[in-house]
Amino acid sequence: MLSIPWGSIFSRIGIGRSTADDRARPVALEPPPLANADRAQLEAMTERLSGMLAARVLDADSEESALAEIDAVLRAGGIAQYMRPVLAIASRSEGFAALVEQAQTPPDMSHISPEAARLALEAWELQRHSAGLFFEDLREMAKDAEFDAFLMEHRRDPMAFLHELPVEIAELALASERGRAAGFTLYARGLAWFEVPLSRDLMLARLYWQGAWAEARLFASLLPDEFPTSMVPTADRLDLVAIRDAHRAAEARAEALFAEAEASGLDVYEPTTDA
Amino acid sequence: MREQDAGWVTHRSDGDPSEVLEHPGVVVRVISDGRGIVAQGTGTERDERHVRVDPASPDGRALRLSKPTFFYTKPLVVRPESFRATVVCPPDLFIALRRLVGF
Repeated sequence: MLSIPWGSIFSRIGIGRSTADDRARPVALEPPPLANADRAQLEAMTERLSGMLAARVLDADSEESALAEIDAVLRAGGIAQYMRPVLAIASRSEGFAALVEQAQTPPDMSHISPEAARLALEAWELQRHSAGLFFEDLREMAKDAEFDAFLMEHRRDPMAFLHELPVEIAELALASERGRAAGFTLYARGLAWFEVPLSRDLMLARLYWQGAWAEARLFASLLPDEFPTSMVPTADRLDLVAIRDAHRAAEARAEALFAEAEASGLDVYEPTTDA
Repeated sequence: MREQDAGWVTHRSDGDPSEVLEHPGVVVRVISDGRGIVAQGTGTERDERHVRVDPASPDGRALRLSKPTFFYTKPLVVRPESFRATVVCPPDLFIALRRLVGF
């Protein structure tokens, strides 16, 4: 499971804007040293991340506070911290094979309730398809300078997509990132040291499924020929050309609004008409 | 001032310039000179398209609101010295406000 740098992906087709220069909400990344790029190392990293998430999310006293904990982990770069070594592994051919193998192996969900397990495995099936496409993309990018931009997106602000991308994309990207965190937490439920109420499983499985579905919609919109309509129907795909045009129009309106405000000389400017 | 910051817009009263007023706000867009487009909240409900945030809701608690607050489609442009950031706006509310004000 990976955290996807959505801003970098959509910027390649001219959607969104980078706020790297005017915004700095730095994330402390301390990637572990890479000694061996192999499956065991990936599993160890997955366990460490899952344990960290589970310790926060599973202790929450309600669904809404569990979601708030997931958001806090995402914002603090908890998953982004995991990304750097994973991407480093992916950039090497033997590491890439291990990553693909990990993504193709169904997770053990025998420790959660049957209903939650059904949802989680459906989510995994959806995510497996998206992940395959993303890994191919990663392998290509690892060969050039774009790879560094990918890493930097997570270093500066893992949630930058919330304000950099059009809202239609940002809300699906948010669901995707939350879903991934929920998936990691479900994985941690299988580790011996976590004992939690089963009711929390269903909430996490729902989040995981919603995230996988959102991610599939985004990838199917980006790469329409790579996703069968039986998996993501045409009606559920985004019209990226229309979104790009609307986003550009909004950018032009923002510039005009800033110019109006500047001309007014006011510290707090209220336009007379809607933007 | 950063995108997704929530806090207070401070400005002087039109009637009494010595009086400083504060309204809750969420920054939806910032440009390089530091100014921001801010979705402004008010306690007044009007018959217009809006986003309502109740103080007891998760979003209301995150924004530390003390009463029902209504955000409308018309945003403000605010200089950084007129905005006091207090917390980061929850993601779902931030997206809803971006959609509301159109940026």
